[in-house]
Amino acid sequence: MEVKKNPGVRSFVVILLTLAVSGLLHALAIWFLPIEGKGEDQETVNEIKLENYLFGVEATAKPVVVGTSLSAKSESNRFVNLSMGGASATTSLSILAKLESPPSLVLLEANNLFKPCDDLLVERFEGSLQTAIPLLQTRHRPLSLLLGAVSQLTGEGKSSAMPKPPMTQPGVSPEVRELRVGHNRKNYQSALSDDEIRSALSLLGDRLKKLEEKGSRVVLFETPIDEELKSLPRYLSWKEALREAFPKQTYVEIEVAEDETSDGIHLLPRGVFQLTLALEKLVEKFSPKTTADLPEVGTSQKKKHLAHH
Amino acid sequence: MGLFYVVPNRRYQVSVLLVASVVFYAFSSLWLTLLLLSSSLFTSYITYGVRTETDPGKRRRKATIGVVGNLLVLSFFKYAGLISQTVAAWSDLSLTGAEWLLLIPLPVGISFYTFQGVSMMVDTYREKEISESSPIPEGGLGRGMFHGVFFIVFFPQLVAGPVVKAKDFLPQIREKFFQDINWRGALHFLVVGYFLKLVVANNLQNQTFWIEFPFITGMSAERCWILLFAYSCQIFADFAGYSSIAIGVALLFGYRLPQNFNFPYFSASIAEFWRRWHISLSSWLKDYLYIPLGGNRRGNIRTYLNLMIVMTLGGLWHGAQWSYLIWGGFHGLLLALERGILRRKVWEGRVMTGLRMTLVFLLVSLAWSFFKLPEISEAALFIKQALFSWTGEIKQKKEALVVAFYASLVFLYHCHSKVNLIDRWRYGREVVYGLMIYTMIVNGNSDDAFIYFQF
Repeated sequence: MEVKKNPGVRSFVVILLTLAVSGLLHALAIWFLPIEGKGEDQETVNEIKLENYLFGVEATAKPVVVGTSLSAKSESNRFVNLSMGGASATTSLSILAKLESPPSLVLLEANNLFKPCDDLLVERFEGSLQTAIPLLQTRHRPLSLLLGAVSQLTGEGKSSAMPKPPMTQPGVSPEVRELRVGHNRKNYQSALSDDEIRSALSLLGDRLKKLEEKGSRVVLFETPIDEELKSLPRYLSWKEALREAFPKQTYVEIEVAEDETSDGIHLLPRGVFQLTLALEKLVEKFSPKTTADLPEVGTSQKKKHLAHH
Repeated sequence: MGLFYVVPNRRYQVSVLLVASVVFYAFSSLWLTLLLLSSSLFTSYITYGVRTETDPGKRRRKATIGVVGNLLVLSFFKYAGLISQTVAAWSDLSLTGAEWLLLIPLPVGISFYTFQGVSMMVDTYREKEISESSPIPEGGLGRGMFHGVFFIVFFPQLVAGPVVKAKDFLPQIREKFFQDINWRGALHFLVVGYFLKLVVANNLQNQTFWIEFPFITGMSAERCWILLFAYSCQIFADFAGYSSIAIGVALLFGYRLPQNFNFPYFSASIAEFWRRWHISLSSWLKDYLYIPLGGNRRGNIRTYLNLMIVMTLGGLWHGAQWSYLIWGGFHGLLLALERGILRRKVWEGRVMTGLRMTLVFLLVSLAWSFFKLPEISEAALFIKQALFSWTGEIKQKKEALVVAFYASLVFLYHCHSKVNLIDRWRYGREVVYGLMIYTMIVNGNSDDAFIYFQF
């Protein structure tokens, strides 16, 4: 494209006006349309979960589940699930550790805690423009709103108050499952290096300390994985190092039927249902029993603001 | 940019840009910057030698040394690992003593700056337009080398093109003035480029992430195709976006880089696709490989063979993986096949052109499997599923909707080549720029590097 004429001041004014009008319409849509933004991919789904918890929709006094894709699909009205697909559990754990009033109970998925924390995402929730200005939040992206509107219209994505057993169990053919398990088997063959373990334990120790100082109780749980994978070096090296470093923590191993995963580690819907029930039991067992036991956690958003604000 | 225009003596403008370009490159690796500088100094020295040498035999020898030297450096840094791995795999030899070949880092942009260097030497040898307009002979060896190095390291095109030809660039080296900047052109290329990259490519990247082993196992054909369309749009938006940004930035410094994309997904044949996709590479391959091989002047069989050779090598230029070779070979085969088929009149007419466009898009998309999945067995599994694993339903409806949303932006962009709606209003273009900038701010994703940086 060849355009020789240079733009005048009017051109820039028109561009600025367009930006202003777009911003205004966008703001009106957020304030007046009862639409809850939906993520378009793993990354935005994760960000929206965190934004809803920190800035709005989610009830803030509930116990929180923190994990990876292994527990991300569990939904219940008895806890808030901040597990993030494709990310490390230490990311949401780090964000919780920076809150003035973290939740009284944190259920922490222990399987993959050695995966590195996404520091950029943690920093984003420490007061970037993107989180301070609602228009820039992921849950208010135009496409998130569009997906939210479609989801509302079709009735999809509505979470029920109580977890229900799935009507169908999508099958995975034995060949496909074997390919996927084989891939995970290959990954699990190598033990974690000393450096990887040391750095993961150091970060975890810091976050656990911060949370417990603020009155949170952290219970570590393990989601069920294939028996064969459990005997491989990666799993064993991490499990051993974790228990050795934090012997006083509470550890729970959740059990479901052996064949309920699609690849040896990710649960199929029936497995997710069983996991959800198990997590609910943990909430019941470890939640503070009296109101006196509860830390000061209110519904006010201010209480959820990060400690350094 | 400020320093470039306020420098008291405009003779130093090139020095300012040259230093800025080297500093820009040095952020990737200090050691590899030395390689870039050595390579560009060597190329410029040879070019000067070729230009000033009067003995035809010596000129030819110098040009040959320059081209072979450049290609050897490229081969060593880019293909030594692949060759040693392949030899070891086929001959059961252990790699003892040669493991270090696998650890050689790939210098950023080496494929691009090697090709530019070759073009400078070959153009000079052929005594094309460059000999009349090039500033190389006027100022002696020092100035000649200075401009030669500047041509190779000029930062907007250094790491991922467009592959600029010396005859197009060197004549542009002269004093530049702030008041001569083509602001409208720069604004256009920058806004379009950043929009394609931040809004389309980066967001689609989170969808095409699933085209990876083991996620592809058991995927339905419907999902394979949705993700392939997403990848087609992503790779276009990523690379065309980068090229557009490079052209826009160069315009701010008063330099014009060649157009690299011309709405390629509206092509009615594979040959047309290659006239519209990565134009600077296609034209380089045509000028410096296809035509020297004889082009289409030596009969049908030789033409088909030439097409296969050029496309296969073009594929391998993209990366040190056999899957890139297959990708190039597949395109070569399609080019050869269509030369025979499209001669028939039955393929003409509006409906047929539409059908051909669809078919070209489907074939090009299918071939991207080898780009996304460099492991050949994984690409083959993915293609097999895309062709045979039909289920009759789309389970990932949200994914399909998201892909359709971003793909529609690429489609609209292509439609602009056929129907220009935005210039019908007085300020239509500005309103569209405003909307694009707003979308970048609220719906952009700034996380990812450019796909073509790896080449």
